[in-house]
Amino acid sequence: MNRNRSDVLLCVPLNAAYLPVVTGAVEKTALAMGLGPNESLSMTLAMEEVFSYTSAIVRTSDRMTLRLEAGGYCMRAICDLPVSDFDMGAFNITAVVRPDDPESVAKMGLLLASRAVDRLQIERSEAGGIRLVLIREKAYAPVSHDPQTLPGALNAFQIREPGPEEIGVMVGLINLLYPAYLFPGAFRFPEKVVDMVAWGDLQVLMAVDDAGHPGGGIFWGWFNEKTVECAGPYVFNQPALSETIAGRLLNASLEAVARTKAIGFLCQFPTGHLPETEIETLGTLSLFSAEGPPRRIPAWFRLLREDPGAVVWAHPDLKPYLLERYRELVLPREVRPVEPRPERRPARSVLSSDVYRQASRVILRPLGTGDDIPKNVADHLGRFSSEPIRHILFEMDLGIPWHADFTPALLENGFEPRLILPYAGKRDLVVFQWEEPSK
Amino acid sequence: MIRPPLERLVPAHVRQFKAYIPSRPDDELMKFYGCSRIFRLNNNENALGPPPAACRIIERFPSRRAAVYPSGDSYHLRHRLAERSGFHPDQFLVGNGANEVITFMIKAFCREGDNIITADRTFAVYEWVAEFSGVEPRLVPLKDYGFDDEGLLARMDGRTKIFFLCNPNNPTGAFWNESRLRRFLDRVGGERIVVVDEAYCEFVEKEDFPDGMNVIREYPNLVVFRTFSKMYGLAALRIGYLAGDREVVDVIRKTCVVYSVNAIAQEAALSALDDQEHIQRTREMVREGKRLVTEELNRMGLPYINGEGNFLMIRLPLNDNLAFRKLMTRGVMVRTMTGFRFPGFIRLTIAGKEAMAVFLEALWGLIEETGEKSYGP
Repeated sequence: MNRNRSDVLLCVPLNAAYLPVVTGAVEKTALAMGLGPNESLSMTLAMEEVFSYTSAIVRTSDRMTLRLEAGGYCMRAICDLPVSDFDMGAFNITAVVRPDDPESVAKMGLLLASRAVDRLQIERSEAGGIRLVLIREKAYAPVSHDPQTLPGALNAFQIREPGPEEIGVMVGLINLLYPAYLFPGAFRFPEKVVDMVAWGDLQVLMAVDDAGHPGGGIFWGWFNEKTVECAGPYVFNQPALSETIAGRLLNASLEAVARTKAIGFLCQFPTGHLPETEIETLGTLSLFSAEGPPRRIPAWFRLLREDPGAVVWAHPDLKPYLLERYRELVLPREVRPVEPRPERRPARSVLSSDVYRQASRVILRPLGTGDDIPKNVADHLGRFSSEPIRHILFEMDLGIPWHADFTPALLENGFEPRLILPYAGKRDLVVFQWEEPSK
Repeated sequence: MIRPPLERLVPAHVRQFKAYIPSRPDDELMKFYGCSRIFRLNNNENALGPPPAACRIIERFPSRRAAVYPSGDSYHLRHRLAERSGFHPDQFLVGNGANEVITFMIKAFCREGDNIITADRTFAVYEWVAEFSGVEPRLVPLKDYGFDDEGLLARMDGRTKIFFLCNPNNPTGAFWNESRLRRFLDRVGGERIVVVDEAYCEFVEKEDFPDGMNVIREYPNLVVFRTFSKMYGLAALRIGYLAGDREVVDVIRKTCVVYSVNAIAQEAALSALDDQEHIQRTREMVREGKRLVTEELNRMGLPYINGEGNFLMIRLPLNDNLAFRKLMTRGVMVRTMTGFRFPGFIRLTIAGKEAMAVFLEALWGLIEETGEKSYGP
């Protein structure tokens, strides 16, 4: 599939006078790309916030390159801002146009934009500028709760890629047979999963007999540039064959990704069928739902390559955790201490925010160190916890020494290191999670 | 400072490609894994080293000759290969390891949009070179751990330029006999190039194993690869070659980088060629090593695939990359097989008694740690 075939490109001066050009282009393109009127409108509102905010803080001679991409089940707006002399701190999602104006605090443009879309990502672009990515998904009908016939016991099965109708059936069975915390939120919408597979963002294999009865399935997609994330393996009412089906599904998915650029294979939706001898547990993340106490979900993982060993950088406060986890995981690492060097730091630190509205999750990542780290971390935490966003995560790359500057502020604000993702960044990533202190 | 716009400069097929990361040198690995020595049982090298005559060439190479370019086309080596085979010297092309001759082949015959056909679970370099050259690698699942002739033929179309066969196959050790190879060549019909990579042929003792060189005269579309890295113990010097019909090799020569094979490699390879005793001693070592290892694997209850070649594959009751790390802490380096699309397997190079004993002790430790589990391959 030629994914770029329907892209729309726009290069506009960052000047408020051009706002109607941007909003007009976004709205019309969203409709053309298959978003409904409501979704098109919210994408347009989000872009309006982004453009108004950025045009207020950067030089008027700068231009924004806006790429509107069809994504099958969604639309992406990718805004690239050039390297410029603007204050990077303005791209903290908590930033305001005029910090001295108390009223403008209520108008956090980027935070407002994040509320109108399914995902807002702020990151540094390859060229060194800032990239904002907004994603708005199409509206889909939720899974039907009509009674469904469970497949009978299979005598024999093969592993193959399912067709669109079969994917719909598989997703229905997953909803029927598994609790919601064992599958991604997208799986509540079967047609969305079909579109995600058709677009290539998700891959799937099924165990099926010659008559077409489904016995199980496994799904996977890219978690980040170096890690593949899977959901499953799911087994549909096959008590006698469950271990065999699950083992073969897992193996088949590993074979499929073995010679891609993936280094790691992560399972954040581990069903009880996941063969534990084939994978390792990296730690746990808390999953919060509207009702009941949080549930600790283990993150299972395996490397897809031989580990040659690596040097990682860490603040002394994080070192005991790392040493213990590296020993348990038999990961060969030399942990080098990083001492803070306040004299070399700029005034303002910068955090990127990757906000997933449907999952009520934000992932914070450092974009720049600064003297105001404690305040900046506290501001982000305050803003997101009051949204409320239930899952507040922080990814620290142990291959980038200055990331360690954030450690004391994270620990002081109630973040805990929960898991290590080997080689998921420049080196390993440590994922911190914030949990509200028990009352 | 203006950074190059890599997104625009780099072709998509290169951008998508995963660079291969070779293992670190031993001193670095020992530091990270906390072991005092490493038995490298991962690359199917010959634990006996090069034949004695080649050792003498290496030891006595005059240092001042390092300033002089080597023969640009490995003249003497090609002539010696020709004498042995009855071919013309121009029917040989020598490269900086067999990997380089794979690159020559794909450059010579393929352009973007063409395809090559090989197996899904075989030596990865055919697939890699095709991928980063913008050529589609069509991968056919193995059948009974060997190349599936029907499956390979079924994937052929108007854009198919080369079939790559690995005989015996790395890592399963399965092989085609001569009649099967001839049947396949007949079915291909001379319209495409068929490469038979015989990197491990000198290890094979089975009588029905074919010598691809004998078939070239009848099938001018057949190209045979050989290497000095395995049986001849010259892996560090990087030297391998291809042989084929003269007209075909003349075409491949156009894409060949001359002067890529160094002088010591050429001379050592030349002196190694006729050492039958070295081959016999190596075969004995491999035979004895396989006997020792398979006996213990049977006791452990671990399934294995023991085909031809100086290696075998073992199915472990834990993931192969975790096993790799645990074995490394015990000073043993094996090849994980996830990258070969055999997750859960390791490939073990068969070496001398001491190395095999250290490996088996480490494996016993691993099994005891993991607990009793039995897995089918």
